[in-house]
Amino acid sequence: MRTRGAKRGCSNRALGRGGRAWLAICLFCLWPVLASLFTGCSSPSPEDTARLSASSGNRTVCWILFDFDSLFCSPCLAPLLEFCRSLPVPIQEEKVRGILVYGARPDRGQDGLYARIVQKKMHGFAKANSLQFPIVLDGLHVFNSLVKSSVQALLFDDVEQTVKAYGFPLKPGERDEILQLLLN
Amino acid sequence: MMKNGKMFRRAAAVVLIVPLSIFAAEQRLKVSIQEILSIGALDDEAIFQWTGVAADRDGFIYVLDGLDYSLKKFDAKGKLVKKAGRKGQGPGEFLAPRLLACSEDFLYATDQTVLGISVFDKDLQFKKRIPFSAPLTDLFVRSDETIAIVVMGFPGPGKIVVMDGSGRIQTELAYYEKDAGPMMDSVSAALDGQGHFYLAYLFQDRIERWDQRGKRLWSKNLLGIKKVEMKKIGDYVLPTEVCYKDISLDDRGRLFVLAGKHAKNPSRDVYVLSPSGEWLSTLTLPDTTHCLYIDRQNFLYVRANEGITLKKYRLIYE
Repeated sequence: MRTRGAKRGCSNRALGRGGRAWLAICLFCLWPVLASLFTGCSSPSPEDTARLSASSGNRTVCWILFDFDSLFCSPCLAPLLEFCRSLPVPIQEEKVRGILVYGARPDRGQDGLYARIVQKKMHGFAKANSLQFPIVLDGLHVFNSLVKSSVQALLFDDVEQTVKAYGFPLKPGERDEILQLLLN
Repeated sequence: MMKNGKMFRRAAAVVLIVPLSIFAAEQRLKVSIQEILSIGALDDEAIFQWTGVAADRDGFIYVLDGLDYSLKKFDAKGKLVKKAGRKGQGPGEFLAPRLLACSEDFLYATDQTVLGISVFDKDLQFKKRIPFSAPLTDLFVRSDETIAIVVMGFPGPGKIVVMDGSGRIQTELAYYEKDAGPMMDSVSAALDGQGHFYLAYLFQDRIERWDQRGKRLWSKNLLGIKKVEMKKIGDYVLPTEVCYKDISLDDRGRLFVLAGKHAKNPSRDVYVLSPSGEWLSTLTLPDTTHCLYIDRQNFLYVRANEGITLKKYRLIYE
């Protein structure tokens, strides 16, 4: 299962200069499209909003990219789920967005049907694992080449105006680093 | 005398013709399916990814769902009547639920990552876990005192173990060839009323029938595959293409074999064999499935929509 992602992917850590430039261009171009996908997400409760007030001026967000196949591999997503459990719910709801990457299935005929199947499975998985952040499907398959390991996190650092990439399982200290950047 | 001779010839003709006509009828057997029930759609929350299914005499259908770590009970009309289980390794919990079987009173469930067999009653109350120290690839239950399991053959050789309800081993069937190589002895299995085992090899073109004493009664290959495709994965060279995915028996002891990659319609073609291993018919399912299950009332259960839908069919023989 994992070899599919490994073949097609390249981790951001391993990206060369050309790869980083490509990533930056790709994200810049897709930002309006993806941002529109995330509009209309559920709002936090008044209490949660109050907890977020300290970071209200900070627009740093974290995108978590993970592969559809990994939903069926309990150990593959264990580090991500552990990370999510450590994030306060308001942070998940407001600043974390999931992108589920999946391969096209021409044998399924219309890609729309397969996308709906993927969406339903993702919904079941997210509900059973109490994931609080919105997750969208990469219906255009633009992120397929970015997902080498089962999970990648992209942090859009609003303070430094940079994109940082993390691969799961996170290295020591990275979880706190991400949390700090999201809270500051 | 003449009259007696004529009668003898007629009797002899009847003796000869009747078995031949039965055989010819078996050869002409055509198997088709009629949909009875469909559980799980794109816009509901009934099933997210079913992995194992079992049905009882009262028509209730039990399903293991791998994406919400649950055991679900549906009535004969497909309505969800109860759901149990959650993510975890404790009593009644699942990490990767896989196989399901039922007896008169209990359900038996396995998990790919948690060793042993979890036993539930028909109200989905967890009762106990039967200990076993190796992963299982197949499970079938004849009674609460006769539970047969196929033990995963990697890295060691696979075998079929029959045990009682407390996990005490009664018999072991060593069907493998010791030099077969890693995973080459992976099988899906079925147990008939006479206590004979049917084996369909996942990575070999072999379907076999064995008696309980460990004697192979027959072996067939239907696909004409001579060379097994292998690939180096990590430190091991492993087979990659599945020949046969699952088997099940109907109420007359006919064997239904779900074909894998090499079939004309992969994961859709089902070969129907007589108890003696003769090919009778090929049934092509409307959608791909990872498993097939035939219940005691002779209904066939298979997957559709990548596992979010469970289909129940009536088997029709012509």
